[in-house]
Amino acid sequence: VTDLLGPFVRVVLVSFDSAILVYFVLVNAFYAVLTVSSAVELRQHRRDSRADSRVRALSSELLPRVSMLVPAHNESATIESSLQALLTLAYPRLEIVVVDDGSRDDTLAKLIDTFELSAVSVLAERPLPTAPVARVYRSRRHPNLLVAAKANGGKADALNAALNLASGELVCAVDADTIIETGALRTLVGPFIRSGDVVAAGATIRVANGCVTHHGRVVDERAPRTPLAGLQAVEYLRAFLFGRVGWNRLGGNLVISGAFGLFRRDSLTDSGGYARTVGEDMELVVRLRRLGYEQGRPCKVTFVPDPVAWTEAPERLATLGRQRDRWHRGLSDTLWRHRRLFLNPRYGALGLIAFPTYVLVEWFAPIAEAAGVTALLLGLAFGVIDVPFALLFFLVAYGFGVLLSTIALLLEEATFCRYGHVGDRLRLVLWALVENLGYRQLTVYWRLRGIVGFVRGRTEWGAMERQGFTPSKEGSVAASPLAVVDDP
Amino acid sequence: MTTTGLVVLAVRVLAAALVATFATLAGFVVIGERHRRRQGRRARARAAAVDALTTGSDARGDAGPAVRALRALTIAEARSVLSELAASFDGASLATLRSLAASLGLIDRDKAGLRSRRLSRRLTAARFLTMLGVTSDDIARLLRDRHPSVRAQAAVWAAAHPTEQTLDAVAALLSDPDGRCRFEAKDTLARLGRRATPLLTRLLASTDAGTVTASLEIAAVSSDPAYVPAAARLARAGTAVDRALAATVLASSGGPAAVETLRDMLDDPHSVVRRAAVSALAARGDWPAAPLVAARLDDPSSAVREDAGLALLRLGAPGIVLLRDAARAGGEGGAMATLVLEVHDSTTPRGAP
Repeated sequence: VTDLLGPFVRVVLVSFDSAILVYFVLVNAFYAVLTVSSAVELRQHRRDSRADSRVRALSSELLPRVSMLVPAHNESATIESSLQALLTLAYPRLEIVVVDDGSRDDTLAKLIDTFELSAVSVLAERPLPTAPVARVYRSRRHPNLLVAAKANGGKADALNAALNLASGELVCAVDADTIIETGALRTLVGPFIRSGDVVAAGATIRVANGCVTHHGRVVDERAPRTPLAGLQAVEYLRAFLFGRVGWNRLGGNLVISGAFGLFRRDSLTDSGGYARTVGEDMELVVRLRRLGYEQGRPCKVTFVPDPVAWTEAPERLATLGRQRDRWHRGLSDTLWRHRRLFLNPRYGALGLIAFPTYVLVEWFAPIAEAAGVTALLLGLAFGVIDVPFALLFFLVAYGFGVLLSTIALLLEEATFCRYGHVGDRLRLVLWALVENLGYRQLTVYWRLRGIVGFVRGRTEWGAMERQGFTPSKEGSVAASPLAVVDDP
Repeated sequence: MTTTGLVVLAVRVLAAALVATFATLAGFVVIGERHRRRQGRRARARAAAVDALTTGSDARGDAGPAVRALRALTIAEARSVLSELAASFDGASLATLRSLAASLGLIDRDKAGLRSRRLSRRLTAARFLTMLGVTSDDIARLLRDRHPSVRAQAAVWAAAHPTEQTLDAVAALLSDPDGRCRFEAKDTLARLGRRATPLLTRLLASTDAGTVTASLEIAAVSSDPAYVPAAARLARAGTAVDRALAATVLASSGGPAAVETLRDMLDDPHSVVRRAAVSALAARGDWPAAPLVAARLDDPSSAVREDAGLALLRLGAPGIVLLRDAARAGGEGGAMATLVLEVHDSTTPRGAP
């Protein structure tokens, strides 16, 4: 067969394999840099926060007011406990703005009844256009709770309506199925106090599956028991503990998870608020940073590793596939919308480091991985590559993947050490070992599907199924996910 | 070297790295058990310390079970347990904690740590001594430390030790380049209340713009009439931000003279100031100023128009009458008045004014 192909095809295959090899080396070299950067950053962060007393700060009248933005759509079953958990967050100047996004169930009635809402004369200058807001209510039991009832317009629209009503200097968009740790908000406010240049700060998201909850709080931090959630737990640790932490020193983050992130309100409204896209969280951060460069305004985006929000990871392959597909469509959409940033020196580290890396490493990775495997198989079939080489290459790729996951676990052990049970730690090591054997290839497939979906113009969110959190043994109420708004 | 050779080398390097990482991780996982044991030890030490506080045995100099339990911990752990407890105590209980810490040698150790060249030692020592309410000139010196974290921590300490020299050093931090230092300095002065009044009154006359703004922020949460003269002066002479803050100070602390100043501020060229003045007059319930507020319904800024409408609602019957007049007159002001009245009518029970 090789003779029939001729030297031309052989050269093409060899060149392609070499290109993939070079890409592989460059990407992994970047990961190595990211690892070192995150280790240095974590060390400094731990030193700065060691023995830091947050007790005094919690009683300060000078802390910036924070508005939590909670979009709700058909969340009658869970909205009450979700809000009760938010109302107990340890932060002195907290406002919660719930937007009922045209629910067809009794979400609003339940809110009015449970929290004793009264209609109030809040007009609010509305810098962001949204679907009409019918009425605004304030709770008589919790004066810091504001609820708006509006026509359905989707998650971004609900967030923008909440943003119009918010009075805090800082706003925090809370995603569905998220449990925020009691003191997390106080820690996340830190960067805004330290520097006036910070426009957004992100926090760590951890997988809550397997954890025991009590009245909307995680009381026993456990590693997930099921393989799919366990693999995601390792992924999350890797993404947050060395991915986002490392970016703090390499030109700043481009993503703040929609599940839990804090923003300066005026920057958010000045930039036009949330865009109607499937990756609204990343798009917003890129836009904020881009406008910062263009208008000469502050645009620092930082990541703080110790405030934690817990999220429920999908336990079914189909649901996970839809989520990853949507994430990659969101990434594609954001990178396309802001394509002029690519290697543009006008945007400093954003244009020259962060944006190109997201394009070449995050977005292009599934294409390169799929192409690499195909080329390897073709090379083997046509005798261009010998079996020992292919085997060695596989070992290097697998070994580096395991190494990165292991380093993330090591950083977790050396710093936050949240999983107290030895069994949980060993389970995470096991998931790190098997992650690259099948699971990773599946994520490549889902991400490729996302790219194809983006090219075809798909914009739906896809239904997310949630199991709910594990209640504590005392029989308390399970922490319920916060309201989710999927695009109508 | 051939490509295969390179890949073989990479496999070997990776294998070595993996073995090393796994060995370290295994070490952590196994040694991680110490984490649980440590938690158990800390819980016992905490319980013993609380017991010592309730019985007061250690206040009499008896080492007691608390000291023994704390001695079983590492220095960092003992410090952490005592700091945790100190956050909830004051007075005699805090003194007992201090004596426990002293009998363990932690206070002397950390007093020495304040002079360390190592940032982490200075910071840890300053935080621990602050939590325990220990007085030391060395902490006061840290208000001028080269590292902002240490300066900020010393500012926290100064809230409990407000000498003239200390407060002067804290005041200097109001214009510190680091935000943490500025925040902690403001917070300390705000917590000191009337003890900081003479200093703040002096700072409000400062020529440093940052210091003046920070002082106004503190005055705005202090409700102290002593700041009214300075606020009245800055309401006419400061930056837009300062003028808006001055309006807040006048609303919370000012007398009849303040109302006059606030009325003048309704014609300020900056919308932020006009908004603050409108809200301040409503907050003071100054209904004779209602016609002046009503005039702001035709303000070029929609934010001022909205605030004026809501301010008129807060002023009660005179405000509502003016809103109805404005609604009949039409124009931008009429539109806003109509909107405000609609909201008012839809949210007010029948029969109410």
